[in-house]
Amino acid sequence: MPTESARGVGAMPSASRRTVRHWVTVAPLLAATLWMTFDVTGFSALLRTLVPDTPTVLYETRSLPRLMGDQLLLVATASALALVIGGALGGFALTRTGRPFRDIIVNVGNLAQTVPSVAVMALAIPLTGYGAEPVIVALVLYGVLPIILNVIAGIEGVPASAFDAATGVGMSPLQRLISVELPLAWPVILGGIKNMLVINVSAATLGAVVAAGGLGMPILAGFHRYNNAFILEGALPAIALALLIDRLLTPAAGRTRAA
Amino acid sequence: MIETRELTKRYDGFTAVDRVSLSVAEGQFAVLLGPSGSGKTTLLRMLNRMVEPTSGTVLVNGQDTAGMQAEALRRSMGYVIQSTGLFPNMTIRRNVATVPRLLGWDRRRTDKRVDEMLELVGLDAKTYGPKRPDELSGGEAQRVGVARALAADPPVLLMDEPFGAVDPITREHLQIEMKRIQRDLRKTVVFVTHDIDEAVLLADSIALLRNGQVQQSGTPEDLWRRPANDFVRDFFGENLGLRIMARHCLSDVELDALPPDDSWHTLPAIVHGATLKEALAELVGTGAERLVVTVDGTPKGTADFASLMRALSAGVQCADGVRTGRGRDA
Amino acid sequence: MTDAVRTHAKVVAASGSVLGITGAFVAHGLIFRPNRIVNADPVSLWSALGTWGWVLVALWVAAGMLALSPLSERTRGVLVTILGGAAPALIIWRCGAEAAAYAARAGDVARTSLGATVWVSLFAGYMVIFAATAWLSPGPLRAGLTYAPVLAIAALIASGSLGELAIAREYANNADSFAREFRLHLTYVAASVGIGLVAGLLLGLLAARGRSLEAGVFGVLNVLQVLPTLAFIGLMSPVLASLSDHIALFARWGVRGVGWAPVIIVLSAYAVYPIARNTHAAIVSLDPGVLDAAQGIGMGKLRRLAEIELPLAMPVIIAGLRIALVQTTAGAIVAGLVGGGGLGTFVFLGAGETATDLILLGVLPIVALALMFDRGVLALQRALGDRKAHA
Repeated sequence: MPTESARGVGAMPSASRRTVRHWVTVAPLLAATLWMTFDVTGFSALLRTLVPDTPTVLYETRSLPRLMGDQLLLVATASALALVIGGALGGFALTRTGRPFRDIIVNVGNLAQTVPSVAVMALAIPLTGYGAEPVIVALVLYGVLPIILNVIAGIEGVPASAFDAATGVGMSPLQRLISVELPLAWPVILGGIKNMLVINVSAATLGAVVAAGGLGMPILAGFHRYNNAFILEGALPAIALALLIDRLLTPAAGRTRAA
Repeated sequence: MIETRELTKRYDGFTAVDRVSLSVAEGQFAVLLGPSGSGKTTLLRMLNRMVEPTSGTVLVNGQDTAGMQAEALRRSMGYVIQSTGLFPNMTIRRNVATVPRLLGWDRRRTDKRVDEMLELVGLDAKTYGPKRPDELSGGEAQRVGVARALAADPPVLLMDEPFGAVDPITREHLQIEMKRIQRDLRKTVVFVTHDIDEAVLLADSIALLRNGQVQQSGTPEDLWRRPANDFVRDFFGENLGLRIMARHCLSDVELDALPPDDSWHTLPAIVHGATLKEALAELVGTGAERLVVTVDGTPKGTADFASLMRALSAGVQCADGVRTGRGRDA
Repeated sequence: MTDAVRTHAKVVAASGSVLGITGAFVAHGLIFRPNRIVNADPVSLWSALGTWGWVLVALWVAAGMLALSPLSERTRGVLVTILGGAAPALIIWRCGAEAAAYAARAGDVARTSLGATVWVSLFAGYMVIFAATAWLSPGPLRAGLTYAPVLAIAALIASGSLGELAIAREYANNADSFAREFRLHLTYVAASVGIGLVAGLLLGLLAARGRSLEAGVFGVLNVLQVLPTLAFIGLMSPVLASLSDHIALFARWGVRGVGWAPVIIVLSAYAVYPIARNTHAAIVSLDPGVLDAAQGIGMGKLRRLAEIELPLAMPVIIAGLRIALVQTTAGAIVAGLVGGGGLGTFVFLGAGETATDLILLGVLPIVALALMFDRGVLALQRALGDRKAHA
């Protein structure tokens, strides 16, 4: 119908234009993160402008590069572990042996959202002591969920026709997995990885509660000492980091969908 | 009843409907026919202002619709579309009652009307009323769509490929019933389709569109005998004559008297509700020169090829209630 | 229910039983301490429960064997569900009793905490019940059997039989503040989800009106969604403090850089997203034919929204509400970190003192609330006829 063709005129951006647009948002975020972390003079000048009436604008106990280092180390370690464990569990749930456990894994994965991640950190203290370990435990547990759920959803979302065609041309199950199922499931899995990283950046900020360092440290110190500059010193780089990771992984992860 | 003057719709740079002037008389079954993209749906949607014209006017009973409130205008016209558009969150009763409710009818009047409408389209109100749209077959849903459109007794009915999504056999039943309902209730119908058979079967008049312009409008017989251009001729193709013969029935044919001798006993027999096309097929198929026409099993007279041709040029369509749809004498 | 799922349930139920038996013998079943801070030796459930340990093991073994038995599905479902619930209930009951006995021996300052394997056993029971209910058809019987152990444990708590467990002692010591923080927590959830629901509906509907609006609305919401909780609160804090300094009305309302104001702003911002996203998705995926018919029949915009679009989109919108409720209930824990109170207070107090039972006093009600909201809204979804709603 004419009405439809008239509406369909809006041009789809070409692949290269999308790449450009992608980097146009990512590059400033990357620059901002790096600048806040390493340019002590510049960043403290900004904080002094934002919070004029504060004697100290930078948290004395630990420098920003170290705080950012803590944060990245927590997120990277936990995310790598979660990726391996989550991938293995999600894969297991799709095998013949693991098949019976698929429903309960998904169910537990959904129910686990009811437990706050910082509660897991707190509860892990008797087992792990204070420091990075309880945070890693919590981050791994929380990171595993989106990975498992998205691996399962991704592989199960592979159209039956593609599966049949791959079998029909004589691929072995492994070949089918590698050359058909994983590539088709990849956008969904990547969405899970993005989710995990975003959740982990947020949860790692709370790691300061159990003395794991990270960007939450100056924020908490700021709350305790009524120093807004400390709060912003942690909050701004943490926000920049979260947005950077999100934007970096967004274009390939596809559009938002209803849950 | 409905008239368009120089009606035009442009979407940036693209003209969907181009200076269309048409008029549809009261009680007429008008078909907008054309290939997809010809602008027929846009034209239809401008009649009830679902689409606002770029220029030109639509008159209903001589009144310019541009000055009317769009919702009120739409409530005065029934509207039926291909996917039926039944509201899945409402029962069949409530679906049919929609426009009466919008018009503020009281409950008793609405209930009575809903019963009548469901009966009119051949659905039992007790059985179907409480059902939900997803419990109906495609044909049943389409009947409900017609019932809903007719519920507030609008003088005009707009139909956009209403039977496009149902199977061929159901579609033929629906077409025949639609024609009956339209005649019984004397509704003015504007009907959009790309199906030539459907158009020729239903139409009192056809407007053939292409690229937003009317190529020709008139009765199917006009378009057959006097095509305005090559596009009209090619669009209908060589089968149009047969299709037109399917519009006419033997009951319209002036029969020759039965010969006094018993010679007619050997002739093939056919009911008087059969179409001319069926009669022609019978003549060709049996190789006979004449057919015996029966009414309720009693022979009434005979017809030959020449009498079929006379009936065709007289241009009378099958009268009410005579047409059987499938004509062979059982 | 497919045959495969019914067979799968056997494997899951049997695995649950095995996990339960294992849990009975590993240490950290119960932890006895002479007083609140001293470390003490944990003991396994097997040694803590004495003769009842035999009963516990028998229950698990029976559950596993019956799950694999060739009994009729209904009988098997009923028996295994009962056994899967009975074992955890027995553990909780006996732990309460052992705690009371220990308190009688060791005095008032003695503490008995539940060890890790108690929680593992509860999970094992959950596995068994989850699997076994696949053999039962939905209805009052299944619902009753599923929730019977929950009710049993609730009854134990109400009867005071668990009163000597350390977590109950923590509750007794904090009863007044617990009630206050519990109410506060609920207030945060109600306010934030309320704001999120209204804003999410409006924004979702707005986004459904066109591509550029969609890009604008979700551009902003996506960014908000990604902000780390603590950093987001930190960002709001100076802003609110300055607002309160300059606008008297805000100061009178008690808006400060810490406390309820930043918490509600941040939780509401998070709650908007799932509701807006689901509203938008539901509205744009409505059958265009239905909307076309509604318009063609002469329904006005508002009437179409109220009678057609919102009712049809409702199941999906409620699914979004469910996510928002669960997420906010868990998220409101951070209020305890920034002077806002709520159940998080106990968690952070406990984290500072390494007092697991105090942490649990905050966490368990949060989890229970979140689960209740989850199940409650799910029931609502199903009552509204959304057969596709899944756990």
